[in-house]
Amino acid sequence: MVGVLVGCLPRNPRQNVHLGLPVQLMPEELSVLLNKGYAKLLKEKPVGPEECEQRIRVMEQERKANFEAQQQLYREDRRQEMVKQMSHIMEGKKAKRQRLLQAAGKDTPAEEATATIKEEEVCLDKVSITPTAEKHMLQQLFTENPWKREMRNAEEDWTYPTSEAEKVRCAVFQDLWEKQYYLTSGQKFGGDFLAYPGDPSRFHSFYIVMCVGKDQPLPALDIISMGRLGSNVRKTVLLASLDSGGHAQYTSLQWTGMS
Amino acid sequence: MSAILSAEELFRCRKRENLSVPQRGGAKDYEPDGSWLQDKRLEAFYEEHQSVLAEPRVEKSGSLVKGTWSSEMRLVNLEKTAKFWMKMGFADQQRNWLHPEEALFLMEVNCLDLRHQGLSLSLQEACDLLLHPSCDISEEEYQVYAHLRRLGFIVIRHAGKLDVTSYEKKIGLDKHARKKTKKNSKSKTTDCAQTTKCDEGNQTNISTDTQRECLRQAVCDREPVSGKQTEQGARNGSETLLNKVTGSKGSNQPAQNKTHSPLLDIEAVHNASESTVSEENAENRSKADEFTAQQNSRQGSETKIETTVETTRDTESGEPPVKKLRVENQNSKKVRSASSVRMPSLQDPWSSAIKQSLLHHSSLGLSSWDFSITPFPDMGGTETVSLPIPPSHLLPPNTGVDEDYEDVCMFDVEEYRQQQQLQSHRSVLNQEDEYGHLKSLDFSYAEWYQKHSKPINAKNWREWKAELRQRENSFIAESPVAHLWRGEVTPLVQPTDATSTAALLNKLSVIQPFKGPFPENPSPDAVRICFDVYLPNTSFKKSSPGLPDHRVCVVRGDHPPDVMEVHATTAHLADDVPLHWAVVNCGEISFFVFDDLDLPVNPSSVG
Repeated sequence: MVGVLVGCLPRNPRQNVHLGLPVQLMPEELSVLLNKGYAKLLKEKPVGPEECEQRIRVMEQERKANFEAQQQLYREDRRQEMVKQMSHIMEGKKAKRQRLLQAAGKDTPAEEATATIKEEEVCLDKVSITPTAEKHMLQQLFTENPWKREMRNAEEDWTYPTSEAEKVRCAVFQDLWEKQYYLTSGQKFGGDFLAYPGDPSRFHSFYIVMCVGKDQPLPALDIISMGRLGSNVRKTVLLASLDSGGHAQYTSLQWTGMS
Repeated sequence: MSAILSAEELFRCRKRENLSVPQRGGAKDYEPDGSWLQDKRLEAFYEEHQSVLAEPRVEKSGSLVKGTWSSEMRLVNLEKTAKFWMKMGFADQQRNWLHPEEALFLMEVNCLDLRHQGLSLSLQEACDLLLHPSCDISEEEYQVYAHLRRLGFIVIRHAGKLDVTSYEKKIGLDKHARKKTKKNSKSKTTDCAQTTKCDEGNQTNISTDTQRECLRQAVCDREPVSGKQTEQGARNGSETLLNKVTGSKGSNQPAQNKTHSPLLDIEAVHNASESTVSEENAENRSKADEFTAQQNSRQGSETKIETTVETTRDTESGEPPVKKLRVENQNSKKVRSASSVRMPSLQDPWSSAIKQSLLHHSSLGLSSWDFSITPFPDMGGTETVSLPIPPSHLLPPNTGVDEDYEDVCMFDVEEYRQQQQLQSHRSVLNQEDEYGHLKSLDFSYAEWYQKHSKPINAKNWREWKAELRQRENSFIAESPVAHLWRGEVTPLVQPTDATSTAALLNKLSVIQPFKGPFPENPSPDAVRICFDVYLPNTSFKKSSPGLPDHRVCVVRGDHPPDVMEVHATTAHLADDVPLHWAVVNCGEISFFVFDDLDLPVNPSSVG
């Protein structure tokens, strides 16, 4: 089952090349999954006000604990940075001391200056690091609902397929899927499905599948246009329909120009 | 399953090292051949895919704006605004609002922390709440919105038809927003206090605020007439008022609105003076107050009417009709530049009659005249009619009333009728003289030639063109103007085209064929247009976005529009903005455009 990603990618939300979660499934995909029992359709039960209150309390507590932990981490990080930059810091302090003494007008000999500095070596533990403001605290935005919820089975709500055309589509999808083909929406090529021999992101599709009803008259122009399209994009056009026994039958189109 | 991250994990996420996005496509294999290399590649791809998708959304709490979802309004309320505010959302009564699709998109790009009843929402919960069918945004529409926003376009909800001419579009007048001046910001506080101060004729110096209020009420009193008319009438009405005030006469007063403008004039002034009395006005005043407050909360700048209307929900009071806001804004625009107003004392029969008729016309549709009350002179049965003298400010400039007449002037009906008969006689005579000889002429060579020319029989284009050219040449050779066709530059028209002036001009395409008339309102077949799209432009101003660069209509893949729907949707818009149809099919979006095509006409076709 392939599905389509429709959300923004957290890493780089303002581009259309690669989208992120959530994934949207085709109705046929969902029907097949439910029929085969590979998936369950769940619906969340609504939450009462006390539950809401409790959730708010939990959320605030968690956030607070998280922020405090982050404070510590920030502090640690700052300290490590200071260690790394210790030599620079020392030099800076020395230079500053020199400047101050010169400004005061005394010409102190170099040894005295260095002596004073050695005494007052920077003690890491005594340096006060200002706590980071709350606006720097990192917060997580959840994509999926993080709360424990009660779910109920919603399979009865799924009423697809209803019309004849939809039933044909569903049956054709199931049949092709059982034959190990990967199927995606065929909107890009004007058909119902595109059938891939392997994962759609690694392979090109072989077939453009068009589902037609058993007794549906097919205008000649449609056949011609599908044939031309198939030959131009180097894919085979499959006309799929259900026979009287409910099995899928396929006819492929090949456009041969006679001149 | 997205885990809840601990502080250490969150901390690690604070520096985003890798912003690269996995490429789509790339070199693809033909078919699975079971080779080890292929499997490896597939595995690597899956791993990367998985890791990229599983990354959590982490953002600094300072860069997140907090918003609250309000279910009654179906909008999101913001506490404070950030950079995105320049291009999204709207403000109303001291609160900042976002539409659901805007809020959802901001959540996806990690800019908004949406809360509902105190609890921060996850994206999943937000989708459930905000894309509910009771809000006007569906899943498919949101997908198109997000797609366009990710590309960088500025997308707002469809604002309806905009009355922008092609010239205005060219010079960018529709996008121009008037700068906020000190006067506007001052009026914010004094507004409500002053509405009650309109007294009859006593106050001579009323500030602009009150005047604006009064005008607004006056206009609110007016029931909505068909949109354009009211706009026109009101615009001209306020213009006359303005001109009267500043002492200069307007130069371009269209003739047909002259009858309306004095009407509005008096009406405005009168209604202002009567405002404390009539209860109708009290109701409208409250509406006007709200309008004012709303108006002023929009930073006092010019608001483009139609977008204002569209983005404002009918939150204040029931439904103030759309057109009222339109007219009201126009008036306030004009009036702000006036310095002061002198209220004339009006106690003559004309004005009272007019006032009555206007207060009466609430049930009338197009016409605002109530013929039972307005004193139209009856010229039918009498020989002379006595008319009251109109007040001097209603008369056109440079006219006056003779001093002999004090109160009424007498009009001789018989004389008038005789004059009319004479004139019509004269015109009939003239026509006979001028065109009489032409009517007797019943032979026109051009018409004869066109009627009697045989159609061209040809098997293909080449033959047809050759035949055509031959005919032209043969005809031209015989005519007295054959010398014109001898050189390289030949005339565009031929003698046989000269059947009438209209036919000639048509052939030259001097006059473009009229493509209208355009219907005022969208037809019932029309598909709902969802969004107005503007190019990503830093000069976009939310208060006056102007004519959109594109419009988008969203349809589902299984219900494509038919020709009639396509035509009906664009028919009432009557401007050159392309309408894109976004077809959404299980998460995949494709855009289509239908262009009107004028078939080319062969200029040298004869007959």
